[in-house]
Amino acid sequence: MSFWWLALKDMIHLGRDKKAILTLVFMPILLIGILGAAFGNMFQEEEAHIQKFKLGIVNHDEGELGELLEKELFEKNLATTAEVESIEHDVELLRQLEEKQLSIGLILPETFSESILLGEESSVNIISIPEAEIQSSIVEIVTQQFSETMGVELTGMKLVAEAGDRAGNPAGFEKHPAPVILGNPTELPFDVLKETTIEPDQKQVGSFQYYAAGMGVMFLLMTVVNGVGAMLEEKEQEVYRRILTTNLTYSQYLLGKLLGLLFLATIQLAIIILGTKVLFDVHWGESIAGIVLVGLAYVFSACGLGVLCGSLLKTEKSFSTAGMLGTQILAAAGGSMVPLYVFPEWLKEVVTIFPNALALQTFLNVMSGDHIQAVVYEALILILMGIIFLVMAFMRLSLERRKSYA
Amino acid sequence: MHKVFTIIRLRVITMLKSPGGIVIMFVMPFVFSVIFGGISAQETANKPLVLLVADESELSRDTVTLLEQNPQYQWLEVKEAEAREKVKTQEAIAAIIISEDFASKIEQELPIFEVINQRQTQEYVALQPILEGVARTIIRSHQLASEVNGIELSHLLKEISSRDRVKLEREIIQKDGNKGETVSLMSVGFTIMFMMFGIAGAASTILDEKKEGTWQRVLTTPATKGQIMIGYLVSYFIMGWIQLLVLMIAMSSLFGAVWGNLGYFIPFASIVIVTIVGFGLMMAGLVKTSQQAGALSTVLIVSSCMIGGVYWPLDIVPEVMQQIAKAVPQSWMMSGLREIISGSLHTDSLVKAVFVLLGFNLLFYSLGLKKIRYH
Repeated sequence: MSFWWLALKDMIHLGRDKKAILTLVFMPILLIGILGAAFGNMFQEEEAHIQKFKLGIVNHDEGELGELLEKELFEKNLATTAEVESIEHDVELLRQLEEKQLSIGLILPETFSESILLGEESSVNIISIPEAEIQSSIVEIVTQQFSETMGVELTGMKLVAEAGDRAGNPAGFEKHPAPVILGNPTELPFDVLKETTIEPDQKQVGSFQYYAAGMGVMFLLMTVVNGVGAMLEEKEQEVYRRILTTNLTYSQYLLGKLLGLLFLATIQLAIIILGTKVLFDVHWGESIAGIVLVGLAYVFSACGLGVLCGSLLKTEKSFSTAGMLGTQILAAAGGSMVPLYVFPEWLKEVVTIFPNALALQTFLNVMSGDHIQAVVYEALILILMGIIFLVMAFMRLSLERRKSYA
Repeated sequence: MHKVFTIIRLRVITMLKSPGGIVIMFVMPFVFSVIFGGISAQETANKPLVLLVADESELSRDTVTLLEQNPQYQWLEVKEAEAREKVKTQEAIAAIIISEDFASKIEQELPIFEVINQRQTQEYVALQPILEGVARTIIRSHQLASEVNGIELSHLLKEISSRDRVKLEREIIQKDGNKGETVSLMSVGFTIMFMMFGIAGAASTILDEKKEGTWQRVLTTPATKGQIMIGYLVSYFIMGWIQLLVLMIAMSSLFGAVWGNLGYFIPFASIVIVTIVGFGLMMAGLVKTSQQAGALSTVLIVSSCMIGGVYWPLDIVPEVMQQIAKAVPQSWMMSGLREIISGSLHTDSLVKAVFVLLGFNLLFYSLGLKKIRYH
């Protein structure tokens, strides 16, 4: 069992290296800290707090609805979100937008009221400065809902009028009925949506949870890249040859190294999970056993992938640079930065063989309430992947060794 | 000058000949473009899928028609079991169960739609107002129908869904007053992150060369330290541009990505690359081995990318974090590139971004050149 000694040696080596300990502990805590600062207080405030923005409205509308939208809705009901400024001409609006005096410009066409009355198409322009993407979608939603609400009222009146006509009794509605008093279109009389999850005891996963898991999964890949990089460096230096002069066989050497790497990665993941839980109260799900199982399985497959990539590249230098870029690509494609469904179909199929993508989804499943039984299958796949990676790496390394002796 | 060129030529040729260099300069940017270009092109092609579970009753059919009018999502009707399966596997962002007895639900003020969802992502959050809008329409129609004789709820809903919608066109302000198209700026941040990893890592080559002894040999040549340093830095700059060019060409040809006015883009991108090279140089100066440089620059790049709004939009983070974002170069690179690619070209923002980045350059290069040990 001499390979244990090698793993132990690596651990002691690591323990004495202050810088390594710093990166092992400090790195995740720093990143978690940033995550917490960015998303932490989302728990208290349900609504994302968008800063008040300036909205310029050019109202060409010949009817009354444009003014209603501007005065009642944007000026009164959205007073906390938008500061409304009436502007006469398009040119002036564009000039102010160009100079960033306004964030969003809204141009209502001449036929705005008419088209809503008749249920015909009309086009409204929303022009924004490049950084105001979210604000521009707020204006879009409000305008859309305004026209829909008005549409309902008008259609209702039309039907009443028609009913009246049929009864030979004109109900007294005019062609341009006085608009009814509007509530805030973003308010509803009661909760109309009942949100549930697939299983009754599951919970929805919030954005802080999502990014905590996503970044954690990405971070572990980086640790593995660093770990494997260190192995390659050792191989380039004379340390490796000296170790080979000992009683260790080649397989024992590899096993010992792998154990060290697994241990390192496990500590890392544990720090990330515990750190986010203790410091920022991130909920990692009910099932501790489930998280441990998925975590260990992921560590195993990530290390396997790292070792495989390490066996394919010769120098530490090229491995580290390619490894870092590769990690980012894997992490991004695996959904650590943006959710998976924004990617094209083919990519979604491809990423199913990435350990990080599978691990992330499984972590999220545990967060939403899956128990250990539900994740055993995924964990097994991860372990299987790890074994395949390692076997491939071992074959490649043995081949290389044989060549070097030949 | 001749000596500097010789060093640059040597470095560039070495990089072009090594397999690692080819992977970093050509393969990685290409793979990256294929993945991220897909997101940008996504917006029109592949909308998030929302499933609808409804029975055959007239009111349910009307509701489905109302929902399906929304063009931002792809709506698909399925059976409930299938819906649950697809939400579980993340194929669909949510499933909506529509029941027919609106009337009693509205009277008892009970939820009208049951929404099955697992992950509260941005797309899901954006779906809620749409559902609420339709719910509002139904509630109001129900009110009208119950208050006024002669109107049937179903008839009313049909009338409403036969209406044409107001078409809202969103665009970004253009400098020359042209009508602009909305471009996705999502890949801008990822491009910056990618280049930081690519170039900053390579800049630690000096440390490797010192270890291997080639650096010392270069120092024995008649070239001065300044010339050698300039030669190395320029070669990294060229490498950065090769990466960016591969990326730009791949994204433009595969996905039709736009890069804005090249007269602005090329100079600004050059400043960005110079800044990143400076960052790499500073890293190489601060640490002893390239191993350390790798580990440290990873932390710094990832954390500053998080702060600078590369991974998620800064609009959703607290005010304090938005201010802190100004202390990292990425946020300025993003704001400059955003102005250029979107075509807005706001002079003040661009000038500010350029000056702040020059400030970062001053910091990086003075620290790097001071700290780097030639012997």
